[in-house]
Amino acid sequence: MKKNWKTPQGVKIRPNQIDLEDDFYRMTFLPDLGPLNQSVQKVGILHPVFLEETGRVKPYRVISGFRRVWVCRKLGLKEIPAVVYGKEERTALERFELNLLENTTVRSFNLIEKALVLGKLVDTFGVERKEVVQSYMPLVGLQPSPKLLGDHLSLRHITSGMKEYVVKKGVVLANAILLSGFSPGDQGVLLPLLSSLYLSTGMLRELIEWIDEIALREDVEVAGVVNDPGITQILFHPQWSVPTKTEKIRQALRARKYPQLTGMTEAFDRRRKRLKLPPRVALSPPPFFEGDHLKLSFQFKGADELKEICRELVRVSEQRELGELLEML
Amino acid sequence: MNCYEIVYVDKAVLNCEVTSSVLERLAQVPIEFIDDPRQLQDEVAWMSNPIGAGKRGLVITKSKGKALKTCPGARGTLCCNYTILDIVQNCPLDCSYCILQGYFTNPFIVLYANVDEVLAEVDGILNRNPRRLFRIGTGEFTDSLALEGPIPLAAKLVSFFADKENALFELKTKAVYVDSLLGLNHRGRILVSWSLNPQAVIDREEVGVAPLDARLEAARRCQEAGYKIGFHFDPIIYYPDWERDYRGVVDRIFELIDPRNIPWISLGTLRLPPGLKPVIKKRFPYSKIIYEEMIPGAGGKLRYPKPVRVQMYRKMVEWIHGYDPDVFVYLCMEGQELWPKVFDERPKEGSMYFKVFDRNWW
Ligand code: SF4
Repeated sequence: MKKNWKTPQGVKIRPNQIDLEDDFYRMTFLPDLGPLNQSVQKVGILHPVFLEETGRVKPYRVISGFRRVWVCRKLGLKEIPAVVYGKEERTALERFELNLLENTTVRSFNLIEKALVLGKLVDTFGVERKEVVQSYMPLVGLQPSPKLLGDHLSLRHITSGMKEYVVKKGVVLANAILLSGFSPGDQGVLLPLLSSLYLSTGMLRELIEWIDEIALREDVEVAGVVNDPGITQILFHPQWSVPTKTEKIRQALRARKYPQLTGMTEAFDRRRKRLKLPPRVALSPPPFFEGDHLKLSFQFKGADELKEICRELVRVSEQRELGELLEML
Repeated sequence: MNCYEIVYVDKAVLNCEVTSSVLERLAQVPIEFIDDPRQLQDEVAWMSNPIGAGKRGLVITKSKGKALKTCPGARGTLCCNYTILDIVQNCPLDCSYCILQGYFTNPFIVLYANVDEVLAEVDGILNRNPRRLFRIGTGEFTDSLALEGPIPLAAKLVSFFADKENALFELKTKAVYVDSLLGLNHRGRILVSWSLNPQAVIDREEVGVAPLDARLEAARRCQEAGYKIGFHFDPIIYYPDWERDYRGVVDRIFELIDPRNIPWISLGTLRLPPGLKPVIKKRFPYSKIIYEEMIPGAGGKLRYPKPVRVQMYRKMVEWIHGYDPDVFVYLCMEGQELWPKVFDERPKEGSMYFKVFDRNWW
């Protein structure tokens, strides 16, 4: 990457002459324009944007400074300070690098922006993957790793709606990769469901994996899982809060993904209830019913309470249901 | 079978007999000489499908580790005391469920050319422990016969173990390259065993691997040559028609093999380290085995819930013992608590196995 730029003279350009639809050099996705908006209102544009002459109806495309041009447009500014590069000055890759270096000095990139930068380097500018890993990944704040490059490139398959979800909800890379594995149509089906729930990173991963695996195992469309009445009735329930809906939808999907385990858990709970355990005594199976020990735990405040619990436990130990619970292991 | 596109030869084993013999057989394959196999890591990092590519590259190098390794059985499971003779790592065949995918840092097929040194070490171990019976095999880090042809090691190993009184040597395979074994004097001490699955599973999950009938025919030929024959139903895979299909395999076994020549049949339902799931998903997109209901069990491996496993094992045992109740059947990597649900008798830790093997074998 070359770093010594010979900068052309600064000029003033009318913002409506700039084609903001042209995103050839763009690496900004869903920027937070609030602070910039305020600063421009107060002191105007301090640094010129970099433009490229295209010779089209709107004769300029942005090399660097998308956010500033947006804000100027929004605020109705008549002019914006700019540095304009003629077509023959520098290669397209060098201009993209200029944008990249400008951005790295003032902000960090979100996940989708990192993927955008790396994707453009590989797909649009034909930079060798090795070069991308070594020279560019550290610039966007990533460890130079071929695997990590591959992971980010896989995000190319995410739809723009899902990209917004990823950025707004701060979805981590591993989950974004899972989302990118769905077809655009299936992402469209998933998006309303995911956006309506309150999901931690682990819960999101579980949900995406379960939906995907249920659909594949049962040979049904993703829509067949997501739009199942058992799910939609929860989702559109007028009284339930978002956390309640989230938990109920998780339970419904879990039961469909793990029918055996769910059946065993329910059978265990039924039998345990029949034991009529004393208060503050818990009896649980080994995780996933793997193993041959039940776990009993209890709490007590004084010797009398302990004696009472022990008496009750002797009663429990003689009940047929306890044998049935042990038989389940 | 020659599937190699490149052979990397570690300069340290240039003068080994095994190296020259393999290179002679792979004369058409490009060779690259290397100072250290670790230098291949960089190349691997850039591969989009390192596991697939690894199956087409052979690394001939020197074993620096122990000759015998304990089978990595999961904690909390009853162990069958299998000891791995580590001379080849990775496998040219391609089964979707193969646990070796990504198991070693090096995805290439690795052959330790200093076989004689390795066997000398084994000899020492056997001599120093005359009272211990070692169950030894090469079928854990690779397929014992899949490399035969360009890399004919089986005959050497059979000849070595044929006169070892305290070793029970097993060649475990899905391949059918048994010609090199047939004329050997194995003294009845060598077991050749086949991993079996119904043809429907082979078609979907075992890419480029010999069909069921060919495996059983190879087993029959080895039986004729006096070898003991073992079978491993591992992994047993659950799918709607599993009962009909697995029963069919059991029937085929006893059509061709005399139960008196079968020292054991092992059973193990599908187990997957969680990290293998994305690998299978990527490499075998049509495979559905990973989508079945599986829960984390012993050693953190995903497996079918216990009632499913018990049902599958019970059926298999019933079908096998329907032919001969004396055929010894054991469960691979299952906890002790499962055995009484499958068998009438509960085996004791470790040594019980050898007593049973002893009775059937020696
Ligand atoms: S034959 Fe065995 S070692 Fe080879 S790929 Fe199949 S499971 Fe893996």
